[in-house]
Amino acid sequence: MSRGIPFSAVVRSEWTRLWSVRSTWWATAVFVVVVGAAGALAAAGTDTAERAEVAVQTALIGFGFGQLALLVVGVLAVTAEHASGSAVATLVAVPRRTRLLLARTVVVATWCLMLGVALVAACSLAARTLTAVPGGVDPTDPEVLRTLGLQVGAAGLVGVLGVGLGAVLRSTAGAVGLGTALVLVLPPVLALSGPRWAERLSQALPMLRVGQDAFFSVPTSWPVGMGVVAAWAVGAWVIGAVLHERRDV
Amino acid sequence: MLSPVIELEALTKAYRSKVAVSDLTVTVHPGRVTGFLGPNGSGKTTTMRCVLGLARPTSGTTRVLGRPYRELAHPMRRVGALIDPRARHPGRTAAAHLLALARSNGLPASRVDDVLELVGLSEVAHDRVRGFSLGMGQRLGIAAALLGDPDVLLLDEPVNGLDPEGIRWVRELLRDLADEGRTVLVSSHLMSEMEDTADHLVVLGRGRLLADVPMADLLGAHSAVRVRSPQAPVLAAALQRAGATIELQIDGSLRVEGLDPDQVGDVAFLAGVRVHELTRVTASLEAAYLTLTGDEVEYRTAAR
Repeated sequence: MSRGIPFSAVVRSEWTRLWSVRSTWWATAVFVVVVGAAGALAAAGTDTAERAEVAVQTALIGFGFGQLALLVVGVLAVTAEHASGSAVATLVAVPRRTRLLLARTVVVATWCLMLGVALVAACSLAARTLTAVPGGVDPTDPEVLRTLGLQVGAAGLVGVLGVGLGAVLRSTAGAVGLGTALVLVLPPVLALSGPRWAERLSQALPMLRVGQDAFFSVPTSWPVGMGVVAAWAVGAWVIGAVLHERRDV
Repeated sequence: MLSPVIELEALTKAYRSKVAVSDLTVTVHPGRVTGFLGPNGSGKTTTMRCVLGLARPTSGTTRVLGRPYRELAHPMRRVGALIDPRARHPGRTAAAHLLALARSNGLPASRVDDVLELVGLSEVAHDRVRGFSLGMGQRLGIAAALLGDPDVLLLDEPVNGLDPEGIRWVRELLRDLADEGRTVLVSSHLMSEMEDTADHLVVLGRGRLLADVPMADLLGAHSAVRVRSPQAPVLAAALQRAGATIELQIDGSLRVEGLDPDQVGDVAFLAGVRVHELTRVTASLEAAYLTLTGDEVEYRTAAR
């Protein structure tokens, strides 16, 4: 007898689950429209920029709000299963739960990364055509590439964060609410509240805009920002996986 | 006898406020339909969930085909299960729901069309399941259970919500699957659903095992002989001397327990009593079941 079902089969199955519900397509459409429109408007409203990566960063402004849609995709991939009861059918078919959650995460992260790549390409094109920069916006400029790459990476991580929070809370409202607070509401609120400790705390939250332009928040260097986002995503995922393994359906 | 396929050993599952299943030791064998009976809340579903690895036992073990369910290499090819007819995303189509399950076990996509055809849902394959009735949900659940052409089937209340044609179809399906040598465990809270289907019964009450018997034995244990005679008092005395328990019925006949019809006839002949009617009375399964579970009902209606 063979050694069991290959991981790729579970991934294909999760891919079928992702595309076969409308919520995925709605969230994707929201993401594309919000990020694309914000990028075009921001680039059009910025006549000139000193350096190429500044022009590109401005055009990426829509990721700040738009990535909430990716958070929702990640959360729903888990919570819709539990809310509808389909987790029962899924877990009878794939009783090895961490493997299942991993396959689901691979699918969600891949989807978010692909959307991230498509949208940073569109936004950098907007910056290139609509904002005047000495020497122009060269997409192969390392500074520009790093800015775009950070945004794509953050898009993938926010999907993972969504899966993790969904697995921890098992409630759509709870996980989307907490996710929104962590990535969008708390960082600027803490940053604006004044005390030094609040500022430090806001830097330790997973802001969606990684890098120097921290979206109404306290800036951090990009390696620190990326590390913070990754730590939150992985941390939430690991806690979610442990709970998923232990809890009854 | 063939070796057991489903084994429960001292299974106990306690929730915060109550013990759902208590020290349950049962084995389920292939080639027959095992009816899993009990009133609502007696622990049938909890037991099945533990067998399928959906719930962790508080203590005790469950095994399917010799190992814990979570360790099966190809779960759907070995075991098919219907636990909850609503176990599906309302926004997904029937075909997509089954395709995701098939792919997760490396089953060919063609199996989806096969099982949809088998359960009679081909025409609504590409409809979202939101609009499905309970009966259609049951059929979809049965389709999912059959996807991997499994050796073992666990079905929790599969005929709930089905129309009479659907109920007959499920009965015949279970019969056929068992005759092919598969193991079929099917739960119900209605004895009448088991009468024509099950070969063996496992009866639960308040999470405890009440009976684990072949269907025929349960019926036999509660059967009696009805005898009518113009000399009833003489016959009753003779039968009592022969060790039977006698009950005088409202129509003047005697209900005899403890002797079979041949013995009752012989006693009457020796006593020189004329007999006008001699019949074996098979207790309805329902009555036998109520006798068993009478004290073990979890949610009893208040006496009026």
